[in-house]
Amino acid sequence: MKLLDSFKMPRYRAMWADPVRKVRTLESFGATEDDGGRDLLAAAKRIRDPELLHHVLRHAKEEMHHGDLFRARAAELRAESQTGGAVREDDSDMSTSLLHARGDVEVDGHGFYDGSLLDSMGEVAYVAMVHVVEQRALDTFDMHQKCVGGDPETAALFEEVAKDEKYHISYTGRILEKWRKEGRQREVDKALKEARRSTFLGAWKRLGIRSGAGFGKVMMYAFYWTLLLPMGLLSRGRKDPGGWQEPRTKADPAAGVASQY
Amino acid sequence: MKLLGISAFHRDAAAALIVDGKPVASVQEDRFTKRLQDESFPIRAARACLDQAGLGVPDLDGVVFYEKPLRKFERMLACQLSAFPRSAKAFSRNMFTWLGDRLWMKNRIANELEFEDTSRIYFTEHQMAHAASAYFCSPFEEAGVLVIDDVGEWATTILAQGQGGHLELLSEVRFPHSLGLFVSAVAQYLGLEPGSQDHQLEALAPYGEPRFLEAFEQLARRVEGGAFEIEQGAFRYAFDHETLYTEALEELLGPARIGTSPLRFEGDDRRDADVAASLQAVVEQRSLELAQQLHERVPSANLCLAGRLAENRALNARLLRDGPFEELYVAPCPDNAGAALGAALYVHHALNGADNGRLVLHDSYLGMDVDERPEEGARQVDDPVGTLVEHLAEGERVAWVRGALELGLQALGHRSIFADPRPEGARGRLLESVQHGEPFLPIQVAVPSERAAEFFELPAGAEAPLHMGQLTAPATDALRRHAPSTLRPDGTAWPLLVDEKRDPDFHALLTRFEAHSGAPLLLHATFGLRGSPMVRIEGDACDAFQRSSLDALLVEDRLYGRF
Repeated sequence: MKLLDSFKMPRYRAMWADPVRKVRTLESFGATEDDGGRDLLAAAKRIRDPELLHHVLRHAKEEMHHGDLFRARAAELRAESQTGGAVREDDSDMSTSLLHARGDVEVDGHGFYDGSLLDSMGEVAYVAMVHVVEQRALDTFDMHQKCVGGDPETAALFEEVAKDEKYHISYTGRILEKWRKEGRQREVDKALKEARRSTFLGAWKRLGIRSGAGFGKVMMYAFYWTLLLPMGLLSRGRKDPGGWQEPRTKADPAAGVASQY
Repeated sequence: MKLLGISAFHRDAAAALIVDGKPVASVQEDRFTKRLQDESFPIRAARACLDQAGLGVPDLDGVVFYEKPLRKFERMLACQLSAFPRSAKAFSRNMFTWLGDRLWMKNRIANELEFEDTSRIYFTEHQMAHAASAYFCSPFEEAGVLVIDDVGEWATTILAQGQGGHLELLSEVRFPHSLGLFVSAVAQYLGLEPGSQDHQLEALAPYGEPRFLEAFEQLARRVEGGAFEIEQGAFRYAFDHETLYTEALEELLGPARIGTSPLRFEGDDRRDADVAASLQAVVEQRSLELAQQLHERVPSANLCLAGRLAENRALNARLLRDGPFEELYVAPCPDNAGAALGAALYVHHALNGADNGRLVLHDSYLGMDVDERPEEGARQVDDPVGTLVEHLAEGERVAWVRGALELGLQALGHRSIFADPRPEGARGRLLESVQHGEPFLPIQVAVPSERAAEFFELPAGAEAPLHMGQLTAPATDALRRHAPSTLRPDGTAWPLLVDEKRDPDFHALLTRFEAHSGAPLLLHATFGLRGSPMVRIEGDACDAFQRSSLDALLVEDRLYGRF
């Protein structure tokens, strides 16, 4: 995992150097923390262990607070950026294209997306998953904190969030240990192993997709400067006329709706 | 015939289900993902629409996508080539996406929805989907249809004719000449987020004077036949989605606003408001010319309006006041989310003939009901409306969540927040309670339909738009007395008329509140925190309530307070 993380550092640095991506990243972290908080709140309704319930409720509150903090910082940075942000058409394309998931750099701190994960996973597997993803989140936020460069406010934000993440790791660890002592060692160990395996595979998968995406863009760039160059030179400066234009198709509407053109 | 409409990949994805030509359900994807104006494929929204109607994917007779992907691809390729070599970066980014995914839309839809018969996946032109969302939901048999948008495939603006349930495209203005993108570029120039914060320009405009009007007249020129063209030297949006304007715009209007500086809209320096006022003036003028041209070709009394700019309430009011049409209907959701509904309606009528089912929409309650799962701390109340009145009478700001979810950005009473309009700072306090701090943002004033003329100089011919909060209107002295904070500097305010038959509970809230305040008025805004979509279910409402500074929340008949 650490090896994978080291690959990410240059990208993280580039991202934090870009005011637009920086804002989007913080907004995405905010959304992810919110999702996590909601999931924990949903889970809390089904938790019977009073000690665990106490911690999960506090955890949920803190996740939502993190969401607010990330969004507030994003809003400050957005206000500071000269352009005020960019239109989102490109993002939309990327978020829904080959990736079929949100990008790991700009989104995934925790991995909570399902509002009722506890229902489908069971209590032990859920707590084990929370434990593992909180460890991942701590590592992720730690890397981001190192990469934010000359932005002490954002670095301080990550530091504050990291303190809470340590508590989350600690209480989930204690609960898992308690269950071990209650004779559920095999169940706990299996759940932890499964959680680690799924996050590890997820990281590899994301790296693969990212590499593919990056390679694809490089190919397109090369294509632009080679095969497309003559067409580009010929088309260069073409003026599209304003004013009214006759519609291109006035065919039978019933036939037209089958066509993608 | 059961059709599912889909809009996606460019701000505010949504799904809509129609059965035999009548809208049954429609909802935006962001209500589920919590990502404001989420543009991802609306799989959750689609499932929710089907669930609401008790249908499954195999029951569908077809799925309709709101654009023609190949024609849009052609436009993007042509525009990027003509911008050679400035388009290199954008080209690699966009083409990777298009070649990898967007060109294969039919397969994408089939896979996402598990809809096996790809011959029943249909495609409409983007602007015709908008046009259909207005005309087929309107009460008009015949009407001129005007769509003023950013862009779909090539068309940015269209004139169409609706006649006897048949919609015909008459003429179009093509990309890059787009009033919608022109507005977005100016929003970015003023340090706002293009697209999602364009509406702030309309809010800023009354605070300024149109002293840049001459420059804006040059940027969006009138051309022969009442159409327009945009001066491309000042803009980059034709090939770049990151930075929409060029230095030429700054040479014309002065330096772009630095984000750290506050927006200039009050005191001696109102330069940002002046830019917004000039923009609003020129957009209104060009739109009036478009409407005039439409009326020459379709000499009807009725106008149907859709597209991004139909969300501009001052523009809608101006088109009705100074334009050639006597009656106005604005699509219930004029932007992309509403185009999912329009796409399905268009295909239904194309496949089944003209007079085949219509349902006039006077509201946008097309989403699902509150998922009633009481949270901890809920207290059952016997008289929900009376409870709300008690809280409001004590000066509290309250949220009310009930019934079907609204489609679009604007709540109409089912996912709403309210406050007493009498205190001087009431508007700001209510908006701040849901984290909206801009002091120039307007707020709606809810008023019973039959009493509205006491408080507003209402235009004739706008029954549906006034009930959907789609117009501004001049305020009367009575409104100035009873709701001073709702007035905009130009003397207008933003009414939401509430009809007793259509929404008796909301109507009762207003009339019962009058016993305390002396006027049947309430401040009204959408219940959704800044940067988040409107709340959907009880859990969302409780979550937003906890993060807000609202004083109370009523979900159906369950009260949540700050105990």
